[in-house]
Amino acid sequence: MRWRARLAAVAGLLLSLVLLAGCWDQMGISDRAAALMVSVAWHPSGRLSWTFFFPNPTVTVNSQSQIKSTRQLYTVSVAADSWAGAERAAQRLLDRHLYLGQLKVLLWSSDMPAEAVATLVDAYNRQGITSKVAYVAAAPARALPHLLQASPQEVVPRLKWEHVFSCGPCEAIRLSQPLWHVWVDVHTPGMSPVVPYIAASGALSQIAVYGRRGPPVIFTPQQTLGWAVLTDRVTREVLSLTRGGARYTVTGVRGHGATRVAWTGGPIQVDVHVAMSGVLAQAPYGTAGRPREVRAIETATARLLLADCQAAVRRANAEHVDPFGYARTLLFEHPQWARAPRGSDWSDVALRAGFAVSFNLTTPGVTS
Amino acid sequence: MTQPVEPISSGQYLWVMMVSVVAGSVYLWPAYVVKLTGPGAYVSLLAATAVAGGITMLQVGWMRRMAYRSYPAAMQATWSPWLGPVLTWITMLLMLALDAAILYLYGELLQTFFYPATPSWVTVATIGALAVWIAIRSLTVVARNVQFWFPLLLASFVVVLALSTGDMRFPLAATPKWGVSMGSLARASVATWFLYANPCATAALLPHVRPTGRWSAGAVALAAIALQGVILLAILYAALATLGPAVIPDMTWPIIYIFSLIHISSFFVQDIGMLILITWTIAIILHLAVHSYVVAANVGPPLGGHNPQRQYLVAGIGLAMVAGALSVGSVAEAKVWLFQILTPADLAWTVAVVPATALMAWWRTGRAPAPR
Repeated sequence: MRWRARLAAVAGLLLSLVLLAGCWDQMGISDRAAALMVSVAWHPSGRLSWTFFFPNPTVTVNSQSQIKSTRQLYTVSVAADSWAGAERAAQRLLDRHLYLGQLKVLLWSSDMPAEAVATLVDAYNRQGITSKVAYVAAAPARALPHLLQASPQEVVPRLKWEHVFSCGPCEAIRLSQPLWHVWVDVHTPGMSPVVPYIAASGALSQIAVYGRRGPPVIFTPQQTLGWAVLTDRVTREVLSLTRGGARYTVTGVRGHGATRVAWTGGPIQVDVHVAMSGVLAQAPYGTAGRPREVRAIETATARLLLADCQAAVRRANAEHVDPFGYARTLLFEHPQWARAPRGSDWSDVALRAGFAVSFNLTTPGVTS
Repeated sequence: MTQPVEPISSGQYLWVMMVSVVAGSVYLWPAYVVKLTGPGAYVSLLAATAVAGGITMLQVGWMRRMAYRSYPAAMQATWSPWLGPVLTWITMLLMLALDAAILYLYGELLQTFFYPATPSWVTVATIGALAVWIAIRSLTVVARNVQFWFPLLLASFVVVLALSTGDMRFPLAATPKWGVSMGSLARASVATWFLYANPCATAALLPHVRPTGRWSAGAVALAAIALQGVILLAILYAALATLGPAVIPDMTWPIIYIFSLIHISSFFVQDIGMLILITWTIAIILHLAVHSYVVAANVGPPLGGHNPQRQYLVAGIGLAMVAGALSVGSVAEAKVWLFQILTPADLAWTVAVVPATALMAWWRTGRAPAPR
């Protein structure tokens, strides 16, 4: 009898293994259509255009070299007013099961208003199975189709934009935003959500800032650099300046700021001390080694960065947004101030900022 | 006459105590408490941990007075042959209801994050069955299972938590704040109690701990509460620092969300945070196994030896838990039951009965404690 009891125990254990592994969800990789990218183009009627990008299943390790980059992805385009609607419509055009757990990039058109972006991000984030670490970005609606074509630089399942956003050394300033950051920013008072803005040319040097409503504020590259300096996102920027008719180039610009935020009614008072450093990469021959020259370039570079910071804050004040999250810092320190002044939501309170930028230049190289 | 129960070591007692609190229900923490007190949640965690520590000390003291006889016998000797079992039954029923709500919510978590197509009754019933399978064995087998698995679970949890430090964006939001209203603080402390609720496991298992080793069993039980408190503290910090206090209240399972964000760039394994799925499933199985074992020991036949009657009782307890879990209608309903009805009820009952029992025992046995 004892071996029968043992057999029953083993059978029971095996059964529990099978059941706890969630058999109903078992599906072969060839039966799943795992979307790698989704682009959403806004339309005032509320009926958005959605395009899902899937890896071409014929791309294998052996066929990689033969398949053209334009054939590596296939797309399904639908019109729908919500995520769920878009998923259903896309599923109708697919012979495999649509799966969003591997999504890498979510792009939306830069004319989409803040309310619609919040709804979109919410609806996506609400599902348990979707990938919350997908990168998000905004781009002009007309540029979406060509921006998302497979690049000859990558072979699926790797994607150009995924690589751009996840490649540390590729970014001079860290602009990448995973979806969950944006979701948290949308719902945390005192912060205007920021997403990278990809220009129609494909250049990535700007941000789109979402106010309380309406389309985003697109910062210029200069304002974006100022924003990046103030939010510690500069990692290896290159700056050019002209002094006395000569051109100088400073590379590897990086640094961090110490920020103090205070509020006693009226504008939010911000004091930032930014300590940056860089490497002198180009200077008129024979001048780079002189200490006086180095100090002069340090001052000039610090002034340049200071002007960028001021430009960023001026733009934020003009547009009533706070992409720096200063008001959020304030609320984190003083949670009892949850009630915003005069019916605002904190992120539109004006900023009064004082900056001090110091710059430390090093001059390595074989010549001085 | 049954054979005596083979005792467990004080080390095993530590692991069993740790798994009997927090381990099964930690995945629900800290959404509700942050909803009530925001960044003041630390205070309510400390308050609930202090209450749990106090209750533990009272139970240890009471057992010493009762000369370490079994829990049902001690209750009968303290109260009366009929009142003792009635009080025990009410305590155990409250515990079963809490466990059922926790089991249901775990089934829903699995379905939401991992198995959207698998019916949640499958995972709920399987977890219940595995818990029963462990609990029908002898105390030493239960303790050895816990002793083997729990340190591994703890280690994997620490690894996952360490990996998630990269996502902690708001250290400022996670620094403790003290200016919280007393009313919300009290409600939040009550709502934290479900983590520490256990079916008097401290007292029920104390007579079966080998009285050797450097630490007394009472100190070990307190250490278990303190260690779990530290883990909860770490989780609270991680949640506040990663997501901030604004979005946590709207989430049902904030911690699993945080762990799902861990992403490493390797070819085969990317979402390493999902290791926690295995960890928590084993943790909840062990948690329910220890609870079923203790409930059966407290209301059923005496422990020791091979007793089919006790095995049927454990199976019945497991069945009741699973049936309770499956009778819940929705996540919202389960949260109302858990946070607003069962947890306050269990806390009120525990802080009334345990001190009353200790006082009663002190009054009955006089001043001289019985020797061990």
